[in-house]
Amino acid sequence: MGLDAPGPREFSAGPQDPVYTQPMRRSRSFFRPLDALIILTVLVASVWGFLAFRMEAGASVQVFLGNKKYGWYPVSGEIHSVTIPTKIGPVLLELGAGGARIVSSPCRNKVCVRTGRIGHSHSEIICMPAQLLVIMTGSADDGSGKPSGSGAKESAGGSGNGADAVTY
Amino acid sequence: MRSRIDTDDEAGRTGNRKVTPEGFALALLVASSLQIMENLLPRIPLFPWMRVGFSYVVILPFLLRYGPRSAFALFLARNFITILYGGQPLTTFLIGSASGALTFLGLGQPVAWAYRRGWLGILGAGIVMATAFNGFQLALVNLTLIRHSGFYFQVGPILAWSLVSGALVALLILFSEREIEGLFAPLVVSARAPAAAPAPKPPGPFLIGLAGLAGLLLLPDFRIQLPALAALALLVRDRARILFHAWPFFFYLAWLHLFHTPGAYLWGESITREGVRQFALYSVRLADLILLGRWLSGRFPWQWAGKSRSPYLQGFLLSLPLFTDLFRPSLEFGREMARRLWAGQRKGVLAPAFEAWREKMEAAAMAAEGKGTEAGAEESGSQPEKPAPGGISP
Repeated sequence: MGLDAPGPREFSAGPQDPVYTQPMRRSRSFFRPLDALIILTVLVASVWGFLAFRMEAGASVQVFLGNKKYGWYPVSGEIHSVTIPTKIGPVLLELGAGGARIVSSPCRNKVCVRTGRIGHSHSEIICMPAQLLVIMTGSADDGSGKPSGSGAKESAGGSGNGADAVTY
Repeated sequence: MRSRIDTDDEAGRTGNRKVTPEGFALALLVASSLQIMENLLPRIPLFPWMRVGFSYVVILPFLLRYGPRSAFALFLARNFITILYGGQPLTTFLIGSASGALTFLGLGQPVAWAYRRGWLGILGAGIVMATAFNGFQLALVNLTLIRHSGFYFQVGPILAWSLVSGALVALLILFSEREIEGLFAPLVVSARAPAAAPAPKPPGPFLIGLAGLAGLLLLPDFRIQLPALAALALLVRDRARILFHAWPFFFYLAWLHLFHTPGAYLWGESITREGVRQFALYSVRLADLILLGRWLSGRFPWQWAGKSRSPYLQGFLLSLPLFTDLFRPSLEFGREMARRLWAGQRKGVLAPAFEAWREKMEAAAMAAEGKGTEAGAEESGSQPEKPAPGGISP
């Protein structure tokens, strides 16, 4: 092989080798009393973690164009922008730091822009001229647990149920 | 319950204390293989970190026996192999490695010390290391990528999972005592006088290839990756077979990128345009890395490693050529492990992984030795047409 010696090495298969077959002493226990303390500590810390930290802010947004799902984007991490091509022109959606907002839109009244940032599950930004709906969902999955298409259509159609703002 | 992991002190008495390059190589092959096998299992979308960490079945005994430096070297080498052949993003490698550094170099010594004194068992050691690693990883991910306090809702689940995964790793160590024992004395090198030195390789092509490897890793851009693939397809023989054998890697990439990348939907409501682009990019990059790895392995100037005294570097280099065929054995003994567990055979549940890699290493070593003898014969003029070997041929 010549890794640390200039010539080839001789490898023995192991089991017949005296070093390999030398019995290794049973020396340590699988379980010691300190382990119980560790288990208890981690268990208590875990329960505290469940109680102390709860995920309430939305973790991703669903984007609907008309009655179709356009895409999904996580809202965690650094703030970044995506451009949504709508029928009235590109809408700039800013995502990150646990929220989303529309930065610019070619619509007339800019109510969607003035809606500001959404950051909680089921909160929405709606732009009627662009037929755009941005809805916060509770988990960063890729499709499950999201609002149904018909529900989204109702919201986009102007029911306004639970919407933060509607641009007319 | 008792276990059989000797510590440094006791290992010294058996004359088997130091990490050997061959031992490190075998441990790395097994650990990487276990890691790859685990990576192929589907993950829970919201809790992707919820994995057992099978490779710790090798890394934890390494820590308890050889200390934190050796364990961290093994962990780092395993991470490097995973990024090299698993096509993971660089951020995953950096966060994983940083978390490992904090865990092994911060807590490794106290854990190994407490274990040596009999205060801590393997169960406690496994849980402490799993908890620390997961905790550091959670904090680092949030500090560097997420930056959202809501992310800490994962503290409770991650601590609970650390308890479960640490205990599972400890149990697997208990069930794999015999195999782990063998790992500490895996392949013994005799002090036979060198009969024929492998011909030294010119370092130029290897260095150029290494720079190319760094470029491919750091620049995930089609403008770099596609021309590289075209060039490597011309340079590497058996390219189609090599890439075909790596199909599970590509499957893993599809799982990660194609179905879990946010963006505008392209097909149905699962595959996004961005996901297709990411999958294509990382697939080309992976193909590049696999082919370049094969090209490099035949050009490594082994005389360099001969000068190094680090068993970790020597072990890493020793194992590197065998990684091009990493997936097939990983899948095979993953299946065998599942079969044994299903049949209720707990003892020796990881034996297939250890045996498969031991056999491969021995076969490769014997092949290299045979070639070395041929090279010696060439130098003596008996077989003038045979080329000199450059190490283990993949």
